[in-house]
Order: sequence, then C-alpha cells, then structure tokens
Amino acid sequence: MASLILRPWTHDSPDTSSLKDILARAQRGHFRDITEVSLQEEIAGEGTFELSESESDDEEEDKDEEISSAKPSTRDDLFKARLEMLRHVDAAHNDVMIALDFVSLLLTHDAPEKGKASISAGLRQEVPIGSLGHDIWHKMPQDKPREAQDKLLATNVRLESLQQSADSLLAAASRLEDNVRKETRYWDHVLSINENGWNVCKLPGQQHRLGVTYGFSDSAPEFARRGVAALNATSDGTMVLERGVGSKPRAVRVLLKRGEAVVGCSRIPALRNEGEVALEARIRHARDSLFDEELYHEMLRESRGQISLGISMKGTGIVLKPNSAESPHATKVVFELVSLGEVEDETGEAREQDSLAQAIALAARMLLSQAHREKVKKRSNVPPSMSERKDERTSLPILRPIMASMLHKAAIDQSNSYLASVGSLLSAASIEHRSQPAAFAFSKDTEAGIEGLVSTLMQCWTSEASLSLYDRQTTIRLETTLATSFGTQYTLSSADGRVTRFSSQEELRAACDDVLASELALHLKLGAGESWECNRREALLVRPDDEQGKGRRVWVTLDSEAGVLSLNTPTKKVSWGSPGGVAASFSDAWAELLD
Amino acid sequence: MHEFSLYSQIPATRHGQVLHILAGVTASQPTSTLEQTLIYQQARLTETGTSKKASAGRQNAVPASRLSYHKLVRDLKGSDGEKGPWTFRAEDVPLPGMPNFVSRATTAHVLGEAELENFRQGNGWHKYINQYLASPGHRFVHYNIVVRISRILSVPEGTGALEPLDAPIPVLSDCKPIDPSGTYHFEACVRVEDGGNSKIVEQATAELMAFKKQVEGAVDLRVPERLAFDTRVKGT
Repeated sequence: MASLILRPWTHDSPDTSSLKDILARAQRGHFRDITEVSLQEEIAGEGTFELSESESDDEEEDKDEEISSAKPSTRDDLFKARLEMLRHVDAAHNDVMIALDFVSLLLTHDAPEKGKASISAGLRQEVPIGSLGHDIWHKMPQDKPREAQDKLLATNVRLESLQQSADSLLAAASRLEDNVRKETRYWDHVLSINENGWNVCKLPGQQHRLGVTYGFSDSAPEFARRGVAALNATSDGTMVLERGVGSKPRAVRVLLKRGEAVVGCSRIPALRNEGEVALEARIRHARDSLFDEELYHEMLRESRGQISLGISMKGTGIVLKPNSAESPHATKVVFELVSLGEVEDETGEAREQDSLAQAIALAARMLLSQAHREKVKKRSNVPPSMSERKDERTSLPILRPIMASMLHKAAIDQSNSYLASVGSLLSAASIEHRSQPAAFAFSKDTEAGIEGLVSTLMQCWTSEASLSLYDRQTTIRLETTLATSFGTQYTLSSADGRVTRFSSQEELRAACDDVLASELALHLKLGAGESWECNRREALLVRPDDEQGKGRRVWVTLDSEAGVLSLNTPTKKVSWGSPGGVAASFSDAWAELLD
Repeated sequence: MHEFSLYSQIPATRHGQVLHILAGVTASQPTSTLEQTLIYQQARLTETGTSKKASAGRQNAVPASRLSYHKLVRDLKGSDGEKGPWTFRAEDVPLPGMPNFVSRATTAHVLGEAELENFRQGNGWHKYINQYLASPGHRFVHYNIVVRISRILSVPEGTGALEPLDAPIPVLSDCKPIDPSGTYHFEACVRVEDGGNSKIVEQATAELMAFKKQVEGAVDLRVPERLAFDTRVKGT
C-alpha cells in the first residue's frame, strides 16, 4: 500500500535569511573564529553536559524525597504541606475530569444519551456532539523488505544531503580564500601608493572605494575636480585607475623658433621612470598632465586678453613675439601642449638654445605655482561682505613676466650692439672713449626660496648702459615692465643733465647719435679757442667772419644706422666708418680743417 | 551691513584639536590675531541736521534713535607687525524671531584721524567705558564665513586712566582671562552688504547653516540669548 505523507502547509515563505542572521543565531561569534577543532571541542563538551544534566536530575529527586519524608515541624510547614496536597488533588481532579469529558464525547457518537449525561457543560458548548468517532485498526503485518527499502532510501537521502552541504562548504571556503587573496593584494597596492607619497583618500560620493588625489586644490574649479581618481580592483586583483586616467599624458613644450627653424626645445618628462610600477607611473602622468593642461589653459586665457602685447595663437600653439616690428628672423617662443607618446623624436639632438627653452618652461610652471599660492593667501584674508557683485577671474600673470624679461633682454642686446657699433666708429677715429654695456641687474636682498625667485621674475627690469667720451658720461637707462606700457622705456641722460624718454629703439638711437655728436663738437670747441662758437644742439661750430672775411662752419654728424662718423664743412667732408675709412684720427682731421 | 553669526565655546584642552579641524575644513592655516577692543558709550546723538553729508554716505546705517554702546577695534598683529588702524563698530540689537542664528545690523568702517577725535576724552560725543583684549586669537576664512577663536582677557585696573587711544598696550601677562577656566570663545559670522536683498540673505544664511552642519560634533554652534547682545544704553 502506498504510504501517504501529510505535511502541514507552511504559513509563511521559507526562511531565506542571510548568512549573517544564521550566524547570529548559531551564536558562535565571528565566523572567522570557527574552526574544525573548536567545533569538535564543542561537541565533546555537549556530550558531557547532557550526561551531567541527567545526573543532576536524579540527585534532585533523591533530595526531594528526603525533604518530603521529614515531618512538618512548624505550623507554617503544616500549612504548606496542606496547600501542596490540595494542589496535587486539584490537579488530579482536573486530569480525571478531562478524561471523563473525552470518553463522554466519544460515547456521544455511539450512545448519545449516556454521553450527554456525563459530558461537562463547557465542552458541550465548544464542540458539537457526536463529532469524535473511533475505529479499531488491526495491526499490520510487518513488511520486512519494505522496511529495509525504506531504511535504505532514508540513509541514501541523508547521505546525499550531507554530501551537498559538504560541497557547498568547500566551495565557500575556496571562494573565501580567493577573496582574502584579492583583498591582500589590493591593500598591498594601496599601501605602496600611500608610502610613495600619494594621498589616498575616501571618495566623496561613493562608499567602499578609495581614490588617490593628485590634483591641486587651488586650481580653477574644472581642474580641481579632475584631481581625484578612484582606485579600482580588477578581477585578478591588480589595481587600475578609473576611466583610463593618466593613459594619455600631455605636457607643455616650449619651442624657440627663428623663422621656421627650431633653435631650442624644452625637455618633456620621461614616459616611465626606473623602478616605478605602472600604476604609479600612471598617477604621476596624471598629475603632471593635469598641471600642464591647467598651465596651457591659463596661458590661453591670458593670451586672449593680451593680444596687444604681441601674444598670438598659431594653430594650437601660443606664440610670443618679443619684437613685433622686427624682421621675421627674430626669435619667437611657441608654447604648445603635446602628447607625450607622440613627440619623443623631436628631443633627440641638442640645440643651441635648449637651455633657454627649458628655463622658459620652468619659469612658466613656477609662475603657475606662485599663482596658486597667491590664491591661498587671498582666500585667508577676510572677505568683503556679500553682495550681488560677482568677481570675474582675472587671468594669472604667466606669459606677461616671461614676455617682460624677453623684451628686456632684447632691448639690452640692441643697446649693447648700438654701443658696440658706436664704439667701433669712435675707435676708427681714434677718439678715446669708455663704454659700459647693460646687463640684467638682480638686487642682492632677494629672499631665498621659490618665492624670492618668482618675485625677482615678476619685478620691473631696469638696466643701465653708459658711454663716456672724454670723461663726460652719457647714460641710457632701460626699464621694462608690462604693467604700465608695452615695451621698454628708454631714458637718455646726457652729461649736461638733460633727460629725455623714448619708447622705441630707433628714436633712442637717433637722439643718442645727436647727443654724442654734440659732445664731440663741444670737445672740439674746448680745444679750439675763443673764436669758435659752438651750437650744441646741432653739433655745429661756427667761426664768425674774421678780418679776411672767411667764416668757417664745421659740423659733426654721427649716424649709427649707416655706421658713419663725419666731420663736415660746406665744402669738405671727412668721414670714418664702413664705407672707406680714413686712417687719420679725429683731432688730426680737425686740425686739418682749421687751416 | 547685516551680520549673521553663531557662537560656541571651546574648553582649553580642546583648543588645539579644534584649530586642526578647522584648518582641515578650510584648507588653510589660521592667521593669528591680537585684538584690542575699546567700549564707548555714546554721550549724545549725532544731530541729523548738521551731519547731513556724513549720513548721506552711510545711508544703510540704522538711524540711531537711542544712545548705544560703540566699539573701537584694532588688530595689534597686523601684516607688517605694527598696529593696525582703528575700526569703528556699531552693533544693533539682533532681530527677534531668528531661532537658528543671530542676525543683526552692524556698521563698521576704518576711522580717520578726524573721526578719532570724537572718541578722545573731553569731547562730548563718547565716553570711555572699558576695554578688553582677545588673545591668543586665530582667524579662519571659509568662503564667506569668518571664524574667530579667541580668549577674552580683561585689562588690569587703572588702564583706563590714560587716554586709551594712545596708551601703550597693556602687558599680556598682567591681563587675566574673563573666564578663569581658560575657555575659548568661538564665533562664526557671515556679512552681507545689504540686509534687504533677500536672495543674498538666503545665500548667506544657507552657507552659515551648512557650515554649522559641517562642524557638528566637533564644535556645537548655538544661538545665545538675543538680549545679551543688546547695545542700548540703559536709562536714557
């Protein structure tokens, strides 16, 4: 006969509680502490516990009997004994009544009158009569083979389920081991990055993820936001930066071009330093690339506002032309943002002005750092009270100081070349002179450190050049600052104390020529005697008509453009200089003209 | 202009910790300050008839209908190491009905020599009452919020005898803290140019509340009783 197994319907869904809850119920503490040994100990302990429990039970029973056999000595004991006896009697009465009710109910099915007579009122209200019946079953013969089969089935099923649980435990163990290994590797990576100085932090938006910051907090907002990258663990435990950060690094490169030829090029950082893991190389690239991108961006913003200074764009490069009026063969500076992977080959050979290009690149970077520092200082000052005004971001001064120093250098070079040419003319005429060329002047009391360097870079440049003719000194002063006006301001002071300002080199030259010519004329007058009069402004010496009616007019001209120094009369001209020099000296020629 | 502020107290043992926390929040180092504040009582009202020119320039100032106490503040640890200029400060009673922060109209401007004359002894405009020093003081700036942490010291007896504007600074070792336990006074305030511009006012108060939430747990900012800020002279 097939056996029918009835199971009660489950009221709620089977309990799929999480591992955490099951463990909590198991009450064995953190699963890390559960080992095979501890479980076995527990089992052994439990066995003894059970035995001891049954032992203590027997002991208690013996004690109870002893107590109850002692006769009640006091009145309280008597009452207590009486109460206990009543309680026992009550319980027994209760049991008997229940049994009576049961039998009566059974009886109501077959012999209703007899049953109703003995059933209690309470049960009669609860249960309708005749609702409990009975049958007599015969004992079934023992079916040995079936029983054996049942037992075998049961054993097999039990074995199968045990096997399943063993398998799942093993799988869990191996997965755990895997996870532990991955975690160890992840934390090793994180620690190594931290030890190398990078700042590892919690990512603001996402929990359970760490990130590394390499940005600068005082950059423009769009760059400061990009300064953090999340560290992600891949499936095999290695660590990568998110989103391909740092994979395409870029850098700013300075090219010095004369015409179309490149005469100087700055260094770009290496793609991979020695002893550096790929991950750290990526972080370093990310940081350098971010800094240079910000530098380029700020330079671009600045150049848009400073077109009048001769800063322009050509393609994607920012071009600085120190002297826009000069020939196309003047050196110009080009800043461009290049990708590190693409331009390795350009830096192969060393060029003549590589160091200058490198210096310009460094100066630009230092100026950006300085701008960051200024921002922090400004932030620490008490802000004005809030109002509707919105302040615009002023462009950071990066190109301007560089431009200023380049302009000043160009001005110095030009002045020095002018002095050199004049000096050569004067030497050709054997006139005694002394000249001192201009040079960059650095004040001695700059503070040490990078702030001092940058403040030196941003100062107003001044230099002086002088030329002494017969102990009378003519000075040229050069001042370059881009704050007030574009270009160098030249100040010419002659020996008489006349001071004039010019803003272009040509005017300076012309004026200086005139001044020097008048100096020479003055000198001649001093040596010539009373009869000569000197018109200083025109470098003209006049001897009014004497008795013979012969007047003399002699004038000196100095033309440094053409490179000619000459002593002229209305009829004769003696000149020194490039087109056919004269061997005679100045004083000799003068003496000649006198006669 | 209008000021919104919140206050707190820091026990002396926690001073260093709070400075560190604020340095982290503001991402900058504190500026140390040493402020000297003189308290003056206004002896008579500035007459609106004669000072039309002056008041036209300051039309945002609350017209004074009663005499009040005014302060002259200067920072003795200026950027050049010398004494800073005197700043005049007039605070109004805080507006009622503000449970979250103290909101009051203030006037503050740097005084020139001519105006300083009003405060000297003998002039009938102001009467010197008392002074106090705030040292050691630190200042942090977080966007638009200015945070000041300082210990208030009272000056020794007899400092008021000389003309306080010109007198030498009281020696710090003689000054005793007002609170003997050495607790520090913490103030966070936002200033708004025009108290009537609701957009800016909302922005400012939102910023202040956000700052309070940010330092919650480290520093508990609260609103002291409104009438404790009353600057009106009693009995007039």
